[in-house]
Amino acid sequence: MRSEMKALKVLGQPLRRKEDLRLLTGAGRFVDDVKLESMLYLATVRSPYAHARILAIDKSEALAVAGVVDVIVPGDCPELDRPLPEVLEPGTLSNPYCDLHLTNPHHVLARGKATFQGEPVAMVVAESKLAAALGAEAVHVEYEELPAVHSAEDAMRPGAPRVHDANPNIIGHLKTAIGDLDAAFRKADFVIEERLAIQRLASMPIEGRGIVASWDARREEMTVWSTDQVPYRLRDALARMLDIHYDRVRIISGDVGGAFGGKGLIAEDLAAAALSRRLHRPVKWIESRSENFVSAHARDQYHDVRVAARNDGTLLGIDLKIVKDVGAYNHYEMVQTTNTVNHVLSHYKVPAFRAEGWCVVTNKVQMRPTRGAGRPEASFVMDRVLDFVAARTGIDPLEVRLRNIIPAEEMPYSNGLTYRDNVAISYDGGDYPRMLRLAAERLGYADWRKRQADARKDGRLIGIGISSSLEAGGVGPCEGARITIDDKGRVSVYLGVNSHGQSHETTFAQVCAEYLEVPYESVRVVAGDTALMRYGYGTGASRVGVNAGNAVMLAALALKQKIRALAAHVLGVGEDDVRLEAQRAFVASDPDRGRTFAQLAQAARANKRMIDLGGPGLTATEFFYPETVTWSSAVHMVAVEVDPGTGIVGVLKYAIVHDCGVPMNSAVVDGQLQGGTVQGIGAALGEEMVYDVSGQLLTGSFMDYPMPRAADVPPFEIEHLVTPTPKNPLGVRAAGEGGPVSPPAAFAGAVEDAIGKRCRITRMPLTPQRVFEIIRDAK
Amino acid sequence: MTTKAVEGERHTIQVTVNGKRQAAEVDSHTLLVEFLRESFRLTGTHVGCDTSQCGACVVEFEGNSVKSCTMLAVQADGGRITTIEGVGSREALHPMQEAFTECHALQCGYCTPGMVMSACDLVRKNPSPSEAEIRDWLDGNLCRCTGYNNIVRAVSEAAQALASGAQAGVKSGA
Repeated sequence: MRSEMKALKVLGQPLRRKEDLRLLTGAGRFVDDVKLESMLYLATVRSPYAHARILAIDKSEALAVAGVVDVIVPGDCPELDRPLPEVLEPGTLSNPYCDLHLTNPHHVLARGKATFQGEPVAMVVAESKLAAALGAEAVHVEYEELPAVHSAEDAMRPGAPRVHDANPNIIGHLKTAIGDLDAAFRKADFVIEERLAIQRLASMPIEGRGIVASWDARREEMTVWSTDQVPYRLRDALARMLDIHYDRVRIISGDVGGAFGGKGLIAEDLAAAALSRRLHRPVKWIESRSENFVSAHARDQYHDVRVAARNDGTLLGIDLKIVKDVGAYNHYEMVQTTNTVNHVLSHYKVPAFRAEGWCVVTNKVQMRPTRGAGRPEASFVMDRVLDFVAARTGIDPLEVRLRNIIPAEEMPYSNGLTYRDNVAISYDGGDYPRMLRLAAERLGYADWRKRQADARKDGRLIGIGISSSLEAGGVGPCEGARITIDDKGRVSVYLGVNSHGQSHETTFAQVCAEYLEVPYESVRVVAGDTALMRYGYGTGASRVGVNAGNAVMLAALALKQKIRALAAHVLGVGEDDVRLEAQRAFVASDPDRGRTFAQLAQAARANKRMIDLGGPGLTATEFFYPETVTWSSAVHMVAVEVDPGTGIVGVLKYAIVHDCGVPMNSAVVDGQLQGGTVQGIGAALGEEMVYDVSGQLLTGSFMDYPMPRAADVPPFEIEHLVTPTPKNPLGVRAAGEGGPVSPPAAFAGAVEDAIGKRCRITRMPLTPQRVFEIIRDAK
Repeated sequence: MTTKAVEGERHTIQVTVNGKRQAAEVDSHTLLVEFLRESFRLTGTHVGCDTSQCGACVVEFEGNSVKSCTMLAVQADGGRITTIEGVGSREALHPMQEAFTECHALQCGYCTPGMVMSACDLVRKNPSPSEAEIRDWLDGNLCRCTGYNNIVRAVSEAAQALASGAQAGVKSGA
């Protein structure tokens, strides 16, 4: 399908980013930087309890605070009386595995009872941020505390209190199976059973959420500045709430300070827009960090795994039961658990596999995806299983993996599972055994084994961990790109996706420069405004590179064809006689006869040849619809030393081999990989949202939630392989999640290997205290 | 809850911001970061937390990097403040900014102004910091995108460039 196989000139080069000049000089425009005339400020009153009846709300004192304009409680604002819309990820209209999916209406303001600590109960709008905050403090809410459901196990117990009165606590179920699992267990030399848990954590971008909503009463139009990762979903939600055509809602999301899955539609988005229309004034809401800690979490999933294996280390079958604690609300169907099921087999051949999963509500913060979205859980399960098999058989963990790995010659490989876009899974290339061996080489695996043995003689604990990951990315339905050349030959690329650090202005300029054959410097990428493109499906799930990248390529090729047709007409020759080079179209046999792109752009304004070329102007719009996802792959290997006195895990060496197909900018890909890996290291060694039994969050600030800092990060040995996918013209695969998926599994393996003594690491994170306890209990 | 409680006591202060001497009226409770962002619309200084942890708001005050969310505007009275807007321009980047873009040391760019301000303070005080010293110094600046290694490399390269006489707008070794 690669239509233009040629030596790449611009695509893939580690060029400087076009975003940087703005961001480095303080000229970025983030939502909090937007200040409008007569703007009001919104503040939220939140439930201090995890589970409590709301008996009464007294807003009189708040209304008396100077500067407070209004206090909103349920029933005050009809637009806010309907629940938040459910989120179905793009292209995921029919989950092949899910047979139960209950939704509990999630209101902007809690109805009758609060179901998690931090749930919005009332809102205050005021002339200043301070007045809004003081007003929120002055809203008096009378609660009757109810017993909280604080864990999924708790929630599934017979007789457990219900989080939502109308529905049971189990709100989702899925199942699937391949091969003959019973036969696998009959043939097994041994069976391993374990419960493996990945903790609750959060995306934690440095910028929180925010919105400025501005209703223009004369034009009856809503303009919104937002941090949302899927601006079109916000547009549609606001249009529905306001009961206006979606073309009357414009979402601008220029610079966004990181997102990682957590920045989606939230109660305050609806409230700000509704109040702006009601009060005829712009309304701003900026989430504080403390609020961000109780707005959306991720992961929190445990796995009961039963494994049938042979004494030679080969896997015969895996029986997996998954329970995900989704908190009080779940807007993502069973997407993340489905991702776990579809990534758990990883780089390995498993003849028989059965998976069943449940989504369970608890009195905790709602669940959103975060980078990896079910995949770190998958790799954690698979690599833990392989390590347990290694420990049981006495075969080296690397060798156990090589005995189960999918050989390169079996690509494209189908394992019998179905992706959540309802297309049969087919791994579209890559050489997993080579990646594994290369990672071992880059780490110095054999050498670390020797050092480990020597160190042990001195009582030092050195261990090696291995984890492989897959990343199905580039999910549809599609993205579009419009490319326009102006009268001076300058090029604009318009996109329907916004950026929160992914370097779209750079990478898509490179795609355009490559395929339109124009200088990188002449290309400007414009995005983050729903007025530019009618539809877009969001920047998440590592889908933009594949979808938008190919759309830019297709638009560039279409535009070249249009240029050729117009030039042929203007020059009075056949289209086949026209050549394009150096932003100029000319007659092949007479190169002096030609027109520059700039001249043709001018001609295209009024020339009648454009009648059947799509109308005036040198512009082309194309959409790319992927058939299904592409599969990227990575192998992480880490050598660690564990301090038995403190439980602190130190990295001795960290090697990564990564294959995301054709890179659009190798430095950007490298940055995605490194940054993602460090997020994964945070998840492996410290980050956790810890709740007490009453449902109070104990880790509600950066003091208690240890995100990695500069000194926590090791250097990485990185090798990028390039296996172009045949599934799209550019040959690109997803690049966002090769980093964060593997570190938890790799560190679990390494720490277990270091401690030895048949200890088993079964849950994350490996905080010093937990490692210390594992060492103590292993004695 | 009275009007007075909201507005607080007003003070007139004199500050020199990015080389320009200015007088302004502020409330007692106004944080330096709010003052810079709201009164002067210097929105390059960002807020990323409410517990003085993230460092997105770092500015230079009287020759030292400070978290501007941890200082009151009135405390800046009479002082000299430099924000990211005063470090370099698009046309003439400071060597630190130059190194950041060269090393791909930013992604979303939200932590970047604070990171640059902090790094500039480091190289002023320690013109040739070791890698460990850079990592240690940046402990108060959180980044969620890059994984820090490119930032550390950028700071090191900027220190070398500055040591060899690079100035804003003059590319070292170019």
